[in-house]
Amino acid sequence: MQASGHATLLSYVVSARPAPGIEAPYVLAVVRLEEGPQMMTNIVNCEGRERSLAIDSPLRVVFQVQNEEISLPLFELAEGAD
Amino acid sequence: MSARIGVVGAAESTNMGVIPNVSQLGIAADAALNALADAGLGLRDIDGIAVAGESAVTLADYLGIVPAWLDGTGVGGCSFLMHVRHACAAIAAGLCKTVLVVHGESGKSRIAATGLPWPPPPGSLQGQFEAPFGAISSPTMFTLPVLRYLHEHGLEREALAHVVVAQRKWAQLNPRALYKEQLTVQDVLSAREIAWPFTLPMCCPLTDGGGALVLVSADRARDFQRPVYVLGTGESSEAALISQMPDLKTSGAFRRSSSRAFAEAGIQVADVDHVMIYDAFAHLPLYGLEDLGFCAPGEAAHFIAEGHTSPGGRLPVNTNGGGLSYMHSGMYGMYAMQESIRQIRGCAPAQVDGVKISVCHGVGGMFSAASTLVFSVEPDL
Repeated sequence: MQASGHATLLSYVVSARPAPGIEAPYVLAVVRLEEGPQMMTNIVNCEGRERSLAIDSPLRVVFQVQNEEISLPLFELAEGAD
Repeated sequence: MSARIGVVGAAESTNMGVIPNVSQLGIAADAALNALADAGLGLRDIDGIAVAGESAVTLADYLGIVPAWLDGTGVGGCSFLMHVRHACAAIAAGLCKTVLVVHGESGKSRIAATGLPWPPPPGSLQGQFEAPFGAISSPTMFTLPVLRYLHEHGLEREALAHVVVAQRKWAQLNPRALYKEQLTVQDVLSAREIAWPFTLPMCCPLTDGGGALVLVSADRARDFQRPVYVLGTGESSEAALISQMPDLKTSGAFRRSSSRAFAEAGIQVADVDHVMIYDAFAHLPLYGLEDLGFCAPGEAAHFIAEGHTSPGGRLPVNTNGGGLSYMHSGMYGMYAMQESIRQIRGCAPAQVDGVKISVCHGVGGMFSAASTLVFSVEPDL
């Protein structure tokens, strides 16, 4: 399935504790892809606004390179969203 | 329907909270011996054994039990409720006569404890699809659906805080509770953040502890002191991953498990005097009260805030203080059952008057599994 990279924010938490390779605070989210499936991810590029992300905000994918083989699909607020 | 089995022995481990000098197996054995003493039976009388967290074979061997029936169903904290359900069927089918359901967990002290589920193996579903994003512990995962629940029902974080406040009122009456300090809603909201919207008091502690039950047929149970009958049972499961929970506001496993238990028992919510809802986190009583039918969707927070589940209220919930303030060794289902049984027997520290029917509901994993039991003082309604 080819996915567009558009998604909606279903729910999230803001972790106060770091995780391996991830600095705190970070946003752990479950999003619904435009195509239907839901997946876990992080919401990035929202420093300082973590606790005011609106449920159902439109999102777009941002691939974060982890190593030579793997990029992770993370998401940021789509343009025009609060 | 008439009860098929009765609980004739029930006890927790001698010590609870921090047990720095006993191994996990030792805690389980201690609880088993306490429950057998409560039943007036010996290890030789046991011909069926059910355990989660340790191998049933190991426990049987350790205790000198020769089983005709073993159950190691391990789906998280509600496993022990499923063990009781499975024991009902086994005893009714004549597979065994006297079952020991036992739990011991050195959750905090980690003395010869079985492995933690963190980090998950890289090839597991969690390892592939959740851990890479920093989903590495239950406070960041079990809590994930809650902002949506609050949003869709027009609720604020106060809804979670009220759950904590209500249960601390029960914990204050329980000498064995870890956290007895009374809190206000504001105390809870301004406490240390763990995974916003969750603060520390909205999350269960990690302690050591154990418990055990002895089960026999309802007919035999009549000859024992203070039998507690099992009128109805249910179990189910749903998404293996929290990110795949089909509807973030409600648990299908909760609804299926509880409706089956209620139907088998022949009861309605109005018949229920007392409820235990496994509360690893503050949102679980909200989901539980709604999915079990005690409250309409979105109404549980108001119900709790009004005091109906607190001491003096008309539907006492988590009367031992719950996983949030009594104890939580990692898997909590056994302790929820122990409190239901104490309330029916009339010997709970925070005893409620006239408890004839208690519903005990447990969760496993992150809304992955559920099991529900209806306990009753009589074998028939």
